[in-house]
Amino acid sequence: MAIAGVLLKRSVSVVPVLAVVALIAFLLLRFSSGDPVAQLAGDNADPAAIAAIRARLGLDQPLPVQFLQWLWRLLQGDLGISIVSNQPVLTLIGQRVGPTLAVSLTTIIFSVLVGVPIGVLAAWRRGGWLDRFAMWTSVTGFAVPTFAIGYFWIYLLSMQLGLFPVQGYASLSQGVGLFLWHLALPTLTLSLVYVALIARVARTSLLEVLNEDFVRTARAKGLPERIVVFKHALRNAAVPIVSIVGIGVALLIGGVVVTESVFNLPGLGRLTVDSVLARDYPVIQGIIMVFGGAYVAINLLVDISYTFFDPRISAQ
Amino acid sequence: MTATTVIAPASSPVDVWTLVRKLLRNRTILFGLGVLILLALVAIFASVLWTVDPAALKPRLRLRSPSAVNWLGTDNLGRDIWSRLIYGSRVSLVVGAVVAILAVVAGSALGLIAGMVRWIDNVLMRMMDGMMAIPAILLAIALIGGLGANLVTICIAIAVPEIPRVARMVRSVVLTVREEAYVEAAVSMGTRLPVLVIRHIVPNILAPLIVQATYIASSAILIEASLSFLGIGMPDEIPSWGNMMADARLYFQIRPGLMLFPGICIALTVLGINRLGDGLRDMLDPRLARSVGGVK
Amino acid sequence: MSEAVLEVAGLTVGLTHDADGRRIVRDINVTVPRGQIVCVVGESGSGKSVTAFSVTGLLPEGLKPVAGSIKLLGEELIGATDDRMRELRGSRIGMIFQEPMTALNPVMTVREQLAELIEWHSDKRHTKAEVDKRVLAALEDMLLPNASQMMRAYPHQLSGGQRQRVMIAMAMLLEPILLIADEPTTALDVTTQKQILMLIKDLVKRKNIGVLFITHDFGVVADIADQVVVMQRGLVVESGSVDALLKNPTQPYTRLLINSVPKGIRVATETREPTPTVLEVKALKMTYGHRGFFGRGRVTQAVKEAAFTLGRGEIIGVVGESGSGKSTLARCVSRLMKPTSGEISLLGTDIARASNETLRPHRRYIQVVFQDPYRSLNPRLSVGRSLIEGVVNFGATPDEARAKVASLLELVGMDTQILDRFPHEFSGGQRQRICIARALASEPQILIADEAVSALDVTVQAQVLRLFADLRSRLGLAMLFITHDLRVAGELCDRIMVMKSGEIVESGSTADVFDNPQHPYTQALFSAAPGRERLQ
Repeated sequence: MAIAGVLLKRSVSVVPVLAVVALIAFLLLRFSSGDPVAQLAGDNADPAAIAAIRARLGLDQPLPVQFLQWLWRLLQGDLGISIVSNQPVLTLIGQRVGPTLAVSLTTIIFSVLVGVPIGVLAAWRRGGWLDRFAMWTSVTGFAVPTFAIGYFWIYLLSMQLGLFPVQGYASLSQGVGLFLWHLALPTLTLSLVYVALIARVARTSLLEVLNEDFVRTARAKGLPERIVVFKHALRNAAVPIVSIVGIGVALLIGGVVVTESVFNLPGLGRLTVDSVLARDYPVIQGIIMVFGGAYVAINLLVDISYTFFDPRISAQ
Repeated sequence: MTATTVIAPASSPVDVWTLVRKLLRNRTILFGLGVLILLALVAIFASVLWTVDPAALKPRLRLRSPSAVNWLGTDNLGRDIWSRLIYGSRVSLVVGAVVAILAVVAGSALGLIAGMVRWIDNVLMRMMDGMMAIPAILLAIALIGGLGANLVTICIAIAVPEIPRVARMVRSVVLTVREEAYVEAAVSMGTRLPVLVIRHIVPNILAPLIVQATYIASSAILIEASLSFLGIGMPDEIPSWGNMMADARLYFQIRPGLMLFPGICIALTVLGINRLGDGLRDMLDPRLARSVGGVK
Repeated sequence: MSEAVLEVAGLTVGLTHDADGRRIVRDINVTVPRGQIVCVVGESGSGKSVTAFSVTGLLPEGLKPVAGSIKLLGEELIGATDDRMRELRGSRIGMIFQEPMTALNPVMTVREQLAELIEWHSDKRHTKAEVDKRVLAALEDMLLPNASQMMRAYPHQLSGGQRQRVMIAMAMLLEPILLIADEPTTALDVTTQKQILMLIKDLVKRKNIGVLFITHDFGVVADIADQVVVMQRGLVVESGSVDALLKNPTQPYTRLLINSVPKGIRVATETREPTPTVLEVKALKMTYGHRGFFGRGRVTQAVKEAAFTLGRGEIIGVVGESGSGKSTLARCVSRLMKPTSGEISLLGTDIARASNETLRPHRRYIQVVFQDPYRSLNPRLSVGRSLIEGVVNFGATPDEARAKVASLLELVGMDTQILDRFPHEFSGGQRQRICIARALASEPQILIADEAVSALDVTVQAQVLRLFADLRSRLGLAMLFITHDLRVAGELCDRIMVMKSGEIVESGSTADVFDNPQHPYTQALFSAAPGRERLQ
């Protein structure tokens, strides 16, 4: 099947997932304690005014109708209006998406570049010093909370060594150097778990592949061991490695929310926390849709990339 | 390729003791169990472990260094850090245990149903896919935003995002085991569905479920700490390690220790539980490593 | 005798960490002369594969040769450096394996996998055109059609036979003097097996190489071997030229192995009286639908219009290669699968489309024995509990059930004291007996044996076949015996049905089908059966 066909088929398959994300976001608002309308109307609004607002927002309709209306607006790119600031949610998210995107991208790139080689080398020299070091790093990485790691880097690299700024964010327009300089600590913080995850999966999948029959064939062909590992085995381990990069994005997004708080980055994570504290539900809904959509999109890309790594997949 | 496959040893009453002996010979498991038991004792006997009221404010004694009275010093409101650490273990342990139980019970029920009934499977798994697309901590934050924050709602909010992962794992084991010849043999001998599930399928799920429960518990403790740290977790008056670190944020540059002590407590607890999980996983079935191992 | 390519003398393999401890193989002597095929025959656990892997220096981790010598054209290989062994593998020693699907790298094209041999076994660089030419020539040499197209194919796009030919092309590419073949045809259908065996035989003649051929099948041995080495539990039992060994085996074990090979002729050819019908299948159809997203998509007809009747005490053999639909037929008849349409009349009741609830009381009359004895028993249940399950389901009290189970075990020739033991304590053959006992627990009229002896060693296979025949005469059991092996079917069955692509292409009494096969496919199956000429 042609790549275009695969693309179409996979894209269609994510529609129900996104619909469920939308349903969850919608239900969260409807079943939350506290009446958003009362909040919107202010403290001394009379019942008539409240009813008017209800009707205006379509809240007097039955639940399924409300959901479809909400979905319809969503499809048109209308995420609603913030209760607190009265600005469109899409605008608010647009203002905050930069730092989040920046730190996520640097983390993904850094983690793949570091995690995959560590995992591969650990599997190749199984039981060697690198393998043991990587294992203990990952065991620790999974145990320490992200924000504690953040403060550890701040203490060590900023307060003691003075290498990086303690907190804050510089946008790309202020210069690439300054931009990266501010992103270094957040990236290091977020990467630890992600690197550990990727390295671990890379190691296990490679070890698993090394038990396969075709590896024995490669050895029986008299190929040097490095060719057996890096050419024959690694290419077959690519699919699980790429897939964990995709699945790990959920972990990454979770970490972003906390990390932005530690380093005072004005991103979506901070917006999430502020909105929850202010009970600004439309904004929370919008953020769920954006993060959920990003996760689905990245995993769609990962899915499509399988066809590139494994000729058997496009045949299915 | 099969995802998770059938595991290990026969279970007759005689084998329970061999199993216990095997568990205690494994150093990784022993370490994990040790940490957990120690922590449980600390949580239960918190009031007699040389502690004072962890919520008692002494504004004149703010941010004191460690001393004979306040072993680890005091925080920004003059509360005794040692006492708060000891009492804080209660929150972490309760959250870890409750979340693991909630998620495992709900998830395995859904997974069993999905694995046995075709049409429910389709609907349920689409729902689970959707839930898994929302990062766990984000869903938890949103749920707490809706439900309000107390011990019960926090446990629910952290447990809900874990349910799909459990359900998926259980479902995949059920689907694999259903294909086994011994299950087909039981079907052709006229064994009824409930008996089939309890006798032939559930025993295969137990081992991976126990392993996954440990990972859920440790991840729950981390998420609770993160939520408290963000100021949307446990109410401030309850001593929890996350709350302590949240309070420490403003004073971090003057007194890094405020951050360090609760941080070590969390890391040690989670490390212990994770090691227990790793040890059990390796003992019960190495192949599990791929499907559930530490993907948290 | 011509020059020896390979001389293995006194080879003993032990454990790396316990060099004085257990021996995996002991004092093995094998000589492979140029231009000959030497077969190493043995059942599982005989050490035949360990012997082969010792020659290539690719023993599994934990094993190493502790004594003896292995000489390739006079060069000692035990103690040779890793680099030297690597040089020899691929260039002087070629190797092919059992499972051609998993033995080829799934993400590399055929060309890549062959070309890298040329690249890594010579110091000078080769142009792409030169490499292509050699790869193409090697593939064409294995009689692969469209070799130039096949170079660009991935393994999953090839059939089993084509994959094995690619494997052989790869092993022969650098013109080795020794080819080691580890059960190379075991995973193949019998007609494909025949072609691959012919190919190997032809290669030996043309290239004047020596072949070390590992197999469990004396039929294959009879077809291709010049010399035979029989192994059992890590020792060489007997060796010699194939003619001498087949005609006058001196050792009892060799005789047992040879006699255990199903001969493919009916031993007793009495005609059976017609008996009351217990099972009647009419117009049975099973279709797997892969409905595409837009309504199109592939539809596989696994069984097209099957019809037959089975009388009390009758054994029908269903013979076919993989993908012929014989297992689907068995699963439909036993209602582990719901057929698309048709009629399955079991003792007068149509169960073809019955719901699970109405089906349950009828299930006791039709029971199944599966292929893999290692997966047919729940590893967590004691043998007793597994056996009792069926008896209790059909309304016996636990006490009655226990007594019943003991008599069943006796019936299948097992000790009755094993009820509290667990499946992992038993061998494959013992487990299969336990499975048969379990199937008999509900006092069925019909037993379906789905490749029930295929996974067993040949001596055990012969015993289980005798058990089936015995049960038929003692209990009047009717059987549907599913197998890929015509020879096995001939040993046991009264009637034979041959299936191909979902259709029953021929059916008749075993004597008729064997003496006078009508359908060309049946004829092909017969002529492909290994050892046919020499073992009868």
